[in-house]
Amino acid sequence: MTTLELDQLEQASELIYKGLKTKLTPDKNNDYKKLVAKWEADELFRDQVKAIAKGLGLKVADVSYQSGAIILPKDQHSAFCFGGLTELRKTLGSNSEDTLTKRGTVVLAIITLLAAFFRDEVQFLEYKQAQQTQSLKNISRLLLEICKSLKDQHNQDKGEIPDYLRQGWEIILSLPEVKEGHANPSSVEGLIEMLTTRFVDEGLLVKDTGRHDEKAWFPTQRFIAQAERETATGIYEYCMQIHQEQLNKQISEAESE
Amino acid sequence: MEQVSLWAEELEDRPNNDPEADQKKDLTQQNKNLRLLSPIYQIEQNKGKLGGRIEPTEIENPSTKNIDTVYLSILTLEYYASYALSHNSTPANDVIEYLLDKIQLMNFDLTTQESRRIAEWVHNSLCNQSNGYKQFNFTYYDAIKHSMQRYEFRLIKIVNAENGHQCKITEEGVTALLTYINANPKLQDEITFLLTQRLIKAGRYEDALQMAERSRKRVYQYQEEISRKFENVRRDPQAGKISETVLPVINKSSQHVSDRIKEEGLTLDNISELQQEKLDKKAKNLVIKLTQTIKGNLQAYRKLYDHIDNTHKKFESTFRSLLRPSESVLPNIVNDLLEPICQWPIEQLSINADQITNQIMPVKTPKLFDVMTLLDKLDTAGEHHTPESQDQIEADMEDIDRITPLFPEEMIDACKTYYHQKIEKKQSFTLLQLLEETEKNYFSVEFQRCLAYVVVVSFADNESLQSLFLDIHITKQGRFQHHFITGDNLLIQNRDNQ
Repeated sequence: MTTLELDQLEQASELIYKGLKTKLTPDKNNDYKKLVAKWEADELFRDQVKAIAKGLGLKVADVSYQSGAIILPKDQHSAFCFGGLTELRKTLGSNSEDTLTKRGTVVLAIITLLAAFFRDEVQFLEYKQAQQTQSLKNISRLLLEICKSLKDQHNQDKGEIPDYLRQGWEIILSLPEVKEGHANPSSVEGLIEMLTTRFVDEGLLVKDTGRHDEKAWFPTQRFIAQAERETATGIYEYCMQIHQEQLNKQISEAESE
Repeated sequence: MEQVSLWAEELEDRPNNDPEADQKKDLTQQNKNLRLLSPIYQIEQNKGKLGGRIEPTEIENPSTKNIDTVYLSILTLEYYASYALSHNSTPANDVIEYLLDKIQLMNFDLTTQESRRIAEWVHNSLCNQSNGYKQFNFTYYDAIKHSMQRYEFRLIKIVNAENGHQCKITEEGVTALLTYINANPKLQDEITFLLTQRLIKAGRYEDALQMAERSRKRVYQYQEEISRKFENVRRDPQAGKISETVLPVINKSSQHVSDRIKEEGLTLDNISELQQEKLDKKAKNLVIKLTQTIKGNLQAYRKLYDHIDNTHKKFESTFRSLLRPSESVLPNIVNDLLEPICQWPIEQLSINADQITNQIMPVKTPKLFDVMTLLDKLDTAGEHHTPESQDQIEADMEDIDRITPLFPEEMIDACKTYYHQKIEKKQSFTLLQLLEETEKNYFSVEFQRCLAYVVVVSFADNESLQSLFLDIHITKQGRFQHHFITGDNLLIQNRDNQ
């Protein structure tokens, strides 16, 4: 292998390395900019980066001047995976017991955050025009309103909706809406606020510091790109598969009875 | 969503039999454009509350009493407009600093902090901060369509929110800024051109200069309009329509801009004729300034021409990509994901919690432990350390407490000498024997303790340099009990004796 080829490989790995540093963006780093330019111009380089990433158990979701390289774990078994709820434990302050309920509510809150910032395709297009924030109230209202409408629906046609289809919203509605005192995960707003803090640490959200009356956050370019390229579709497909399996199981159980 | 159109709909499109069509068209446009000023007046109305945090019953915030927020709003727009052509975006902080000075001129009594608060508030209100920076939304009556129409617009938009806000004025922002907002920009351009020519001929250079400066701001308006038209088309799922909608716009734009370049050139010719005439000093200065401004305009138009050209290229590549099988449409996360998942059994949610979290969160670099980090981890009883910033580490640094030596150095030296002498004299002795002997000779308690210390230290390692140097061998000999010292008794032997 020639020196030139070795150089090229070094640069390819460097782009992945920089992508793994989630808070680094090309506008702060000239070397990074050069690597992105190389990615855009050189097809061989692109293939090399992708190959190295694959070997490491990673995949390249997107490379752009705005958000840099977005590198994600190749699958759920990758060593680069976030680490699930265990990793969030410190943020949420729960120590010994991760009870079923607690884990469940955290998941609902995480999906709510994703849904609030990336409602649908139109919202992605709006971000291309100009940046927008979501306030704490808006985010928790989204979850609460869905849960309330599910409750109403359930009350209307009681006999028809099976019991297993109501646990998520029942738990959310049983929590106090507004936190008391310090942010803690035992209220809807508290839980969401603590999660946003973590999202800020991970470089997914930025707090709107100019706002004094309410807490609100901008999604970072990185979060937008990641959600558009991978997360939105990925998580939808993953969850829908489980949803479908669950439904099929219930149906076959009902039939056997 | 209705937007202001740079190129007003052709008259042929409208019903010809209405004699008032022209008038209605103008009035509707004017009526619509007046909504652009609504946000500015809302700020002025709410200034007593400064963002609406104070209860309505409370007395007005006196800090904003003598502040003209309308003027501040216009200053903000003006500032952004003047940077719009040369810069992709402007840091919001620069504008706030600029407003800060103006506010302090309005009211000397304000502290810097109060002024900053007002400046930030005016600026952020123009961005519609209280509504998550979404578009302003107003309704107006459209006399041609005979119905109420929604008008959504932004005056200033945030282009990038990371590392401080980077903002940019929008096309509507420029429209709001220009004092005559009734006519559409194309018409305005023609008027401006004619007026400029006439003003130059009439010798009203000052007014001509003002006209020329205005036309520069409009160049930016075009640029934004073209970008947006392009974005809108990209959203349009009906690819077939693209060639009908966008290509004419691009052709029209480039035609219009090249016309404008010609016109500006003509104006320049006019001025150069003027320069040969005899003029007083003031007029001469104005003419020079006018020349510069128009040259600047010319440059801006050329830039716009490039912009249109680039848009055309971009459009072509998009068009090509549209011919390829399109990627799957993004799901509606609220309806298709959040709602069904809210109905899941709790076990289901819990089992999949880790997988779902991993999909949303970014990568986590696996940590490699060395022994020290591992010990550190164990020491903090399982608490997870997040990397702290350099500043914090520096701030947290503490002096290590120095342990004061047990005995003064001189005493240790004396003990060592005493000990070495004993070794030379005796073939073997135990620690207890040594201590008893010292006591008999009326050495102080402190000295005895120090001696015991020195002896125990010398036991550290039989292969150590000290043991070899003294030529001794020390072994343990059960335990001993002295008045104030207990411990393992040590047998000190000369090596030759072994």
